Amino acid sequence: MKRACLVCVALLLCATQVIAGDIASDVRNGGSTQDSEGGYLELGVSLSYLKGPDVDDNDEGLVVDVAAGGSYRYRGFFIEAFQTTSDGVSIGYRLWDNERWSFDLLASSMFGLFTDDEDDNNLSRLSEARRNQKLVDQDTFYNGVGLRATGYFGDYVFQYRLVTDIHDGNGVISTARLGRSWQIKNWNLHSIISAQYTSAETNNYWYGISDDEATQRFPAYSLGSTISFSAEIGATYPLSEHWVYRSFIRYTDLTSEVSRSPLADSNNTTTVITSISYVF
Amino acid sequence: MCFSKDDWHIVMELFNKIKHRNTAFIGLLGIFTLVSSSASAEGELIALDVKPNRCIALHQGQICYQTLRFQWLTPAIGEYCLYQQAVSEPLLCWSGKKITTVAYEFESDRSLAYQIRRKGEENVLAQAQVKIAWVYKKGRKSASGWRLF
Repeated sequence: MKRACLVCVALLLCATQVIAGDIASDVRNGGSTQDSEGGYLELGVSLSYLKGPDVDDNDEGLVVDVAAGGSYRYRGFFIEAFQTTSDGVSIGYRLWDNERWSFDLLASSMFGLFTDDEDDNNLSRLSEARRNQKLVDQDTFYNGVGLRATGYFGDYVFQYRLVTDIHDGNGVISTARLGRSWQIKNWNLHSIISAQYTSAETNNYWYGISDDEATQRFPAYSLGSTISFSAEIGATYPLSEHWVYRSFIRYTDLTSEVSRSPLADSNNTTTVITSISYVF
Repeated sequence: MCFSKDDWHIVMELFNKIKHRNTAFIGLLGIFTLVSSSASAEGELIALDVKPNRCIALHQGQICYQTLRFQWLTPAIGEYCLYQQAVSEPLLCWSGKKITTVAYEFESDRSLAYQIRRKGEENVLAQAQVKIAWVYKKGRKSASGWRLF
C-alpha cells in the first residue's frame, strides 16, 4: 500500500501535464465542497495546445501528453493534483469549514520546472550561447505555503489563495477566483475568472534578468509587482463509470511589464487541453 | 403458453441479457425467476426490459439523464400500465399487445424501478430497474467545524 501511494505521488508530481481541489475541481463538482474522506486517481492521455509568453518555449504548439490527476483526503489532510489546475500539486490541511466556507492551510503548493544547474556560480566562465540557454531553461519551480479560503454559493464558487514561496524565497502570489458550473444533461460545464497579484520578487524570478546574468540577447531587466487576469471555460462528460472526457480553454492576460521582458515574447498565455482519463 | 414471432424476439433478447452473466447457475436462476415471476393468471408470459439499465453521472448526487427504451411482453387481453416505482400515475397505459416498446427520458438522482401492472391494480406483473452510477463518488463525510488533528 505504501509503495502504491508513493507511485501515486510520483505520478502526480512527474506528470508533465497535471490537468487542475482547488476551484477547478470544486466548480466542476457543481459548486459543492470536497468535504468527504477518501479520494481518486485518474490517468489518461491529453492533446494540448499551449501558447505561452516564454521565448524559445519548446512546449508550444500541439502536444500529446500524459494526463494525471487525483486527490485524497484523510482527517482534514489532503493532497490534490487536479486536472486543469493552475496551482499544481497541493498538500495541506483543512483548518475549518461549514456548509458555506472552508479554510485550508497549504503546506506545499508546487508548480513549475526545477532545474539543478551546477553552472550557477560560474556565469563569467560560460560562453554567451551557454548563458543564453541557461536563461531560457531557467528554474521556474515555485513551492508556495499559505492559506486558501473557499466559499460555496449555489452554483458559484469563490476562492482566495495567498502563498509565499519556500523553495527559494521567490515572493508572494495572491489569487482571487470566481467559478460557476452548469449541468446540461450529463455534460458539466464550468467557467472561472481569476485575478492574480504577483509580487516583484516572483516576477523577477520568472522574467527578470540580473546584471550578472545579462547577455547581448537578453539584457538586464527588472520587474515590479503585477496584477494579471485570466478566464477559463470547460466541459466534462462521463463516458462510463470510469472514463471521463474533459476539455477546457484558458486565456491569461499578462501585463505589459511581463511582455517587455527579454524572456517573454507575448503578453498572454493560451492553454487548450482535451483529455480522456480513466478514474480509479 | 404460446408465443408469436415478436414475443419470441423479446424473450430471446431477455434470455441473451441473462446469458451474458458470469455463471450458468445465475443464468438458469435468472430464467426461472423471470418466468415464475412474470406469468399471468392465464399462464401467459409477462416481461419487461429496459435499455440501457444504467445511467452514468459525473458526481454523486447529480441528476442523471438518459434516454431509455422500455420493451415488454404482455398478454393479448387486458389493460396494462407502465409505472415508475412509488409514483401513482402511470407513465403509459395500453391494451393487450397494442404497444410493446416506448422511449422515455429518464431524469433522476437515484436508481429507480419500473413496473408493469394491470390498470387500476397494485399487483406487480414485471419489473425492471435503472441503476445510477457516478464517476466521482462521495466518501464518508467529515465533520464540519474546527479541526485539531
